[in-house]
Amino acid sequence: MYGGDETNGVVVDCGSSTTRAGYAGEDTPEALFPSVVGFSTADAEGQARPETSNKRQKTSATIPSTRKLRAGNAQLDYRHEGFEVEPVFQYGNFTSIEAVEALWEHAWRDRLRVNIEEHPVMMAEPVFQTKAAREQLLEALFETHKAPAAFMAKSAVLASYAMGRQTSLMVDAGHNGTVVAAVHDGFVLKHSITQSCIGGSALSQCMLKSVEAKNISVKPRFAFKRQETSPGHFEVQDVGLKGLTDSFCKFHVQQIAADIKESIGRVSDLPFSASENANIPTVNYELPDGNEIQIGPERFNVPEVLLQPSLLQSTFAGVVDTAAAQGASPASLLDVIQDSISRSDVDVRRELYNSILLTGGCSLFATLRDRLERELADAAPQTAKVKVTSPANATERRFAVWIGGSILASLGSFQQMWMSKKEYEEHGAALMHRKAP
Amino acid sequence: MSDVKDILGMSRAPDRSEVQPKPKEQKAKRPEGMSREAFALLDGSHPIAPSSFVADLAKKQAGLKEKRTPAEKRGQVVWEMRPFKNEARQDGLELRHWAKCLKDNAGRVRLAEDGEYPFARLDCKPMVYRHDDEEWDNVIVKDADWTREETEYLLDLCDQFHLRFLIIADRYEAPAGKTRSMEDLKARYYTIARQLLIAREGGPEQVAHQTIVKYPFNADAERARKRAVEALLARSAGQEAADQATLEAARGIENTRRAAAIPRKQPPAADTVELATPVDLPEQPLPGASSLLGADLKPAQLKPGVFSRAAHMREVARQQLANVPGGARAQKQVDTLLAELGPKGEPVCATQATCAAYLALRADIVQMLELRKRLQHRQAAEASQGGSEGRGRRAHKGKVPARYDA
Repeated sequence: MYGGDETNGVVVDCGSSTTRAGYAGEDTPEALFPSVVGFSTADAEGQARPETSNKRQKTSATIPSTRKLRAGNAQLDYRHEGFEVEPVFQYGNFTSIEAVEALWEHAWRDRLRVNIEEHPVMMAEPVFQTKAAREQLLEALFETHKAPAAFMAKSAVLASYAMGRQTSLMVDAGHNGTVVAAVHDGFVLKHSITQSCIGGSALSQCMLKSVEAKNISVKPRFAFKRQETSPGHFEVQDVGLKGLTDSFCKFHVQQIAADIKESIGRVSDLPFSASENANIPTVNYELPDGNEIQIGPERFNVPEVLLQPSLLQSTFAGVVDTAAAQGASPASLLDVIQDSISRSDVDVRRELYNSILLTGGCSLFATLRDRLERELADAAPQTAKVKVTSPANATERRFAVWIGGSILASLGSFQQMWMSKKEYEEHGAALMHRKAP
Repeated sequence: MSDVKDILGMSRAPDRSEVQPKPKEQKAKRPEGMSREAFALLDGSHPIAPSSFVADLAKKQAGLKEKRTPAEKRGQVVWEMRPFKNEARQDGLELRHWAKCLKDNAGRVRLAEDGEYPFARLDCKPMVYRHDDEEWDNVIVKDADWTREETEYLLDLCDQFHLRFLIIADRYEAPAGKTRSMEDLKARYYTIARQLLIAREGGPEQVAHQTIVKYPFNADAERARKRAVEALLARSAGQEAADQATLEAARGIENTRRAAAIPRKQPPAADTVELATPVDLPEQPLPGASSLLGADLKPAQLKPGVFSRAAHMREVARQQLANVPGGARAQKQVDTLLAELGPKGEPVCATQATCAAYLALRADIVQMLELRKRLQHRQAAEASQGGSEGRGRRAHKGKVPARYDA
């Protein structure tokens, strides 16, 4: 590989729905697990809180700082009584540093099985991450985990590199919302960052509401037992949800709703209205307990929320708590993109229109790219040619940020840009703002 | 043989001294550079041509052929995970990577290539003009708007972002809290750069060819240009369409004007040309009759089909010419006369009148030629015979042949 020099770096990308971790130089992450941590409420009771250093000010209201946080599919997928589950990232910012560290440890110790003291760490961070949060993460990385070198790169830049561009308008349609940022020559233009709080999580909730509106209850897998009474016939026995916490059940039901949305959801080619298309043919979906449901217009109506957020007030009212999103209002993808471009310098606008890159979980809706391109071409200035690009491969689309981190960390010319432990000790965490502006 | 030896009284043991050691056969040695297979093809009768090896030898001497140290001398190639020094780093961080090493027979391992890290020299930055204290006092013209701290902050950013003003403007957070547009930042930087360059090189003349000096940055022009670009982008589809329509109309008008301005060639006025048409040609072609004319200037009888009047006329003319008695010479005469008398070539526009006139002309010419020939013959005959009457009596020179009635 010309230009490449692998120094065995480890790339970690903590996203809002999943965390990706793996080795630099590879094309897919090795470890993929949900960005949630669980803790047993029984652990916390009866323990006095030890004196922690007062640098750790950011603690969540619900997670007490003493219990053992567990992460990873193995911990979350089986029935735990008294086990609370909390997502680590709420609208981009992490709830507590311990939660993030729990994710890291699960990735390094349990999945990759590396001793992080021997590997430089490439971290992907959200574009709107504050300097204080950055410093906190670096502190944890160098002091607690003793990494030899680290670098924090903005996710928009990494995704852009994964698609081979240095200048682009990066549209990251993720779980907690959509983030649009302009990248120019490998640097993010801070004034062009715009967000919308409609993302995969909102869409999953809308889908769940549609299913429940048909009087079907979605049961998580641990809530029932299926026994084969005769060949091919199964009997479902309710086991019940006794002792299980709300957050735990909610997490698993959300996962099923997300699966429904991913497997049958589609973005229609033209603006979709549920009332006009009430009689379109339905599609079957089999729930884990064997129940088959018919999904009709919701197939198109739910992903339509991305482009017509007014549905959140009409059809899916009360589903998404939009007030809780800090700094991000429900806006359609088109508005968010145009807003971002209008905030950039005039000279670069035409180039941005020409290189819009669509990545993230929600971009996996196959027809979203075409629809977006068509609608943007109508709304954009006539002199600007609109082109929306998305990686052809579904894996690349989903993990574009991680892949960009893998590319960057394995470049020969990047090896001089790491921030080493020695530099951290000399200059402090603030040096990272200079090294990775 | 043995009984002879008995007779002679010699012993039976073989005599070593008698056997002469045969001269050892010299095996031809394979010259270096020749392959074993090729050498095996040669036999003793053919002396090996030395010319090709001389060429190889010359090459070796010139050093063109690389000497490859044999594998045994070099060592076995082994890959090892080794820490390496990166010259572009200042903190001495040693990361590890796979490096190609050579292991010799004794087991000692050393690096195959040693030298600076190949990617270290890719750390290049554009030149940013920075002032020191002395230059700040003497060279830089003081600007009320820019304090020294702010100027230094700007220069730091220029350094960090490699003079990418788009990003510098985006990340600019002045210590004093003023908001600056990209043009302000560029203006300040380029003013400083210009002053420093002139001061360092000694005078404006030395550096007059440099871009910074020749074209100083004009912030107002940049602002106006950006406003224009913004206006361009803000136009709606309707405006765009209206503009295109106006441009199309303007182009059309331009074209018509240009076409009208060219002096046109005047076509010959139709009424000044007189066509000598045969008198008996009907003014209008009779209905039912073809308007194509044959050689006799009557409507030609033709099979139903599509005909071109000019082609038909040519055909008729050709036939007419072919029918002229006298052969090629007569035909040529017809042509020359036609050229003299008539218009140059065939009628430009093949109408019935013109075709009729043309054909009539040709017919007249043919007829005239024939008459002329006859006249010439007659004259020639008269000249030779001296008279034109009584051909019979006079031709015989006074002697009248006996008649059967006398």
